[in-house]
Formats: sequence, C-alpha cells, structure tokens
Amino acid sequence: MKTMKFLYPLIPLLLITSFTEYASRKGMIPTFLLPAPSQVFLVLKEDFGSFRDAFLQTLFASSLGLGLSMVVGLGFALLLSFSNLVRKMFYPYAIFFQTVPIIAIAPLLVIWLGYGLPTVVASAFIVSVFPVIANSVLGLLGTDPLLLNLFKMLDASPLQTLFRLRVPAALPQILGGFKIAAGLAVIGAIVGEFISGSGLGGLVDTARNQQRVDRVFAAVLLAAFLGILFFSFISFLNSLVLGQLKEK
Amino acid sequence: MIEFKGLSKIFPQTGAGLGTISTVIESGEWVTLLGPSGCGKTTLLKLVAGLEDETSGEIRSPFQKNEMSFVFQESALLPWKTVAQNIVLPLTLRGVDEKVALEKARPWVQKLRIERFMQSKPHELSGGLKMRVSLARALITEPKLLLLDEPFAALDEPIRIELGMELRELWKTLRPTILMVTHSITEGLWLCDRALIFQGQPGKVVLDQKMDLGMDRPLSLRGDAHFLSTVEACFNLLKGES
Repeated sequence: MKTMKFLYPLIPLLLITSFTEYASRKGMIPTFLLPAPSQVFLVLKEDFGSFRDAFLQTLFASSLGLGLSMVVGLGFALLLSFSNLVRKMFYPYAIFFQTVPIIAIAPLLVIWLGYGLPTVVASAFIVSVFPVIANSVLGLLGTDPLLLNLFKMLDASPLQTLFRLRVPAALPQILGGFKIAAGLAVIGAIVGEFISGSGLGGLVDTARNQQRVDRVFAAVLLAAFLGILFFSFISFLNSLVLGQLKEK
Repeated sequence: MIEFKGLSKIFPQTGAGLGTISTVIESGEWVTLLGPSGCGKTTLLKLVAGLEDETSGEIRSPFQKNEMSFVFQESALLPWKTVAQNIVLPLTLRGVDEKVALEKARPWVQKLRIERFMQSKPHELSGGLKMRVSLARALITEPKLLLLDEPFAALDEPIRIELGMELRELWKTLRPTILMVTHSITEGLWLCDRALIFQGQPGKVVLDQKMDLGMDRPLSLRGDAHFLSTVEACFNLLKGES
C-alpha cells in the first residue's frame, strides 16, 4: 500500500509525458514551444556536467537561504512572542517581507551584494522567511491557556515558559512554516540567480535567450526536483519530531 | 489561614463573577465550594492562586506560590512529556535534578497506583489515570494549599468515588488546606469539613455548612440519614437557582 501511495502521482505524470512525446513526434506541437520529454532528457544527459554544477549551486544557495530563514525567522518569532510591544513594533516589517515582490528588489540586491552567492542567498532568505515567522508566531501565541496557567502556578520564569512550554507546544506550526519555506527558498534562489546569472536560474535565463526551450525545461525539471527534495527533507524532519508528540 | 475581606471579582462584559465574600479558611481545613455554573467558584480559586486580579477587597494568605498546587478541571498534562516527566515538572522547574525528583515522586506514584504508566505518554492514559497523574504532580511539592477545580468532573462515578477516597487519605497524611470546586453535592459534602454554597450571578455565599462527619469518610457514609438530610437541604437550596 505504501508503494501505491508513491505510484499514484506518477500516473498523471506518465499520461502527460506520453501525450507530449506523442504530440511532439507527430508535429502536433512545435518543438520550439514544447519539446518532447525525450529531447529534454537527452539534453540533460548530453550536458550533464553543467546541469549538475548548476543544480549543486542552487542546492547550496537554497540550503543557505533556507537555513538562514529557519534560524533568523524562528529567532525573530521568539522575540515577537516574548513581548506585545516588540510584536507591535516589528511584526509589520515581517509582513513587509511577504508583500514585497522579490523580482522587484533582486536588482537592488545585486547592487548591494554583487553578482554572486550572497545575492542568491539573500533572495532565497527574503522569499522564505515570512512563513517561518508567521507560523512560528501563530504557534507560540496559541499555547493552551490552561497549560499557561499551570506554568504560572508553578512559578515558571518567562524563559522557562517559552522554552519548556511555548516552543514544544508550537513545534507542529513551526515545522509547518519550515515546510512552506523549503519550497519558497528554491524559488527565491532561482529568482536571485536570474539576476546574478548563476545556478539553475542563470541556466534558465541563458537558455531562454538562446531560444533553447529544451534546456529551459531541463533546468525547470531539476529546480522542481530540488523543491521536492527540500520538501521531503523537512517532511521527514517533521515526522521525526512530531512522532514524539503523537497525540497533538 | 486564608482571609477573604470584601473580596469580589466582576467580569465587566457579563456582569458575572464573584460577588463580595468575607470569610476565613482555617489552615488544614477542607472546604468545598458548591453552586451553579458562573457563580464565581473557579474565579475564587484563581484569585487565591493569583491567576486573576480582584475587582475589590483583598485576600490575606500566608501561602507563597511554591506552597500551592492547582488541580485543574482538565488534567493539563504536557502531551510531549512522559507521565514521569509530567509528575516531576514542578520540581524540575525549580532546578531539582530529574532523578532526585523522581525519587521524591515515588511515594505519591505508589499511593496513586500509577507506577506502571510512568513511561507512557498522556494520550495513552484513560481520563481517570490522567487525573491521578495530575494529582501526583500537584502533591509532589507537598503543598500547604491545594486548589481543586472540579478535579473529577470528567470521570465515571466509580472512579470519582475511588479518587475521592484516595484524596481524602492523602489529605489525612499531609493535612494541606483544600479548596475544592465541584458540581456534585454528594461528593463535595462527603469529602469536606465545610461547604460554602454559592448562589446568584455574581455569586455570593448563601450557606456556610460545617460537615462534622469525622476523619474517616467511608463510602457507607453517603447512605447515612444525617448526611442525606444535609445533601437534601443543599440540593433544595440550589434547586431554585439552576
């Protein structure tokens, strides 16, 4: 049954790729618009080295961006949950990070940080940090009032209440935020790479300029694979941690 | 002793809460608070515990926070901790080593018969067991003041009776002051030395009933004619209110 769970999503994928392959070979769709899946895999195979390097670059930058989001976002959420005043002062800026279109500020990042890894990491961070903050704050402030009263009765210090009650109680929400951030970090990194010209984003940009749709698809495929990889890793982490809290 | 002097707590939105109360709770006394929902019984417990601020009046209490324990209506166990970790929580928060705390918990764990479940998680326990764990956690600090807010409300009658008798036995050993809220007139009167009957919204004490039934409270006492007449009197008093 477990194997079936993984097989089900493959059915539509198989149907779509088979149809695209058929339509492309029969000339029903121009290959400069939608290449045959076999062509995309051929490109991937032929230029494996550059795709692998680009993939690793994006993987590295997204990981750094996601890691930064997790650490900074959670730290910021802890601060926000600690005091009403701090929350009122700084939460609007967290929302700012969510509303600002990354594509609009990416050129600014290049001016500030140059054409390289820092810009890509910053872009991945900006896009992925908000879900971490929002989910963590939601979880940290949603602690059961009964348990809060218990900790008050036990004369727990604010720090004890935070780390021994609020944080463990908020873990499902915090990890939920990490899960959303994982996918967004890849998107953010690729947007940063569009501008800075590196990684999968850079590869997509170059291929687009060369009208090489097959290479665009190959890069997009790898980007999607990267997103799934991140998501799966966080989901694994999620089940590992939440396995300890079953009944929640 | 705890002294309530013109104490009140009114919730502005509803006008309900605790009306003015002035009385004295003697040290080592078991006082049951009876009355309809919303008459301020739980509010009184929270005021004593410092979980609410009074609207007027004052509480004179010799008990510090670390001398009190509160058993809530729900067991209030941390779901990610084991039974053992939940029980020793009050001590580990005070910086006591977990092993030392567990040693200290041992007599209560034995008395409440939860040794077998020490490594279980709360979701693996029945309602009765959860309340036992909650009681063990409240008793591990050997509190001088025990605040019980409908501790047996979610339990079946046989378990309520059993836990009530266990609690009475523990009280005989420790002799803490107990303030217990309950909706069960029979149970409340059976266990206590004194009952305060509340009525109205905001609630006021309409009857201060001594229960001179002796130290031991066997189950058979609940069938005693004198006891039953007191239960009936309280029932009639509260009947008009509900």
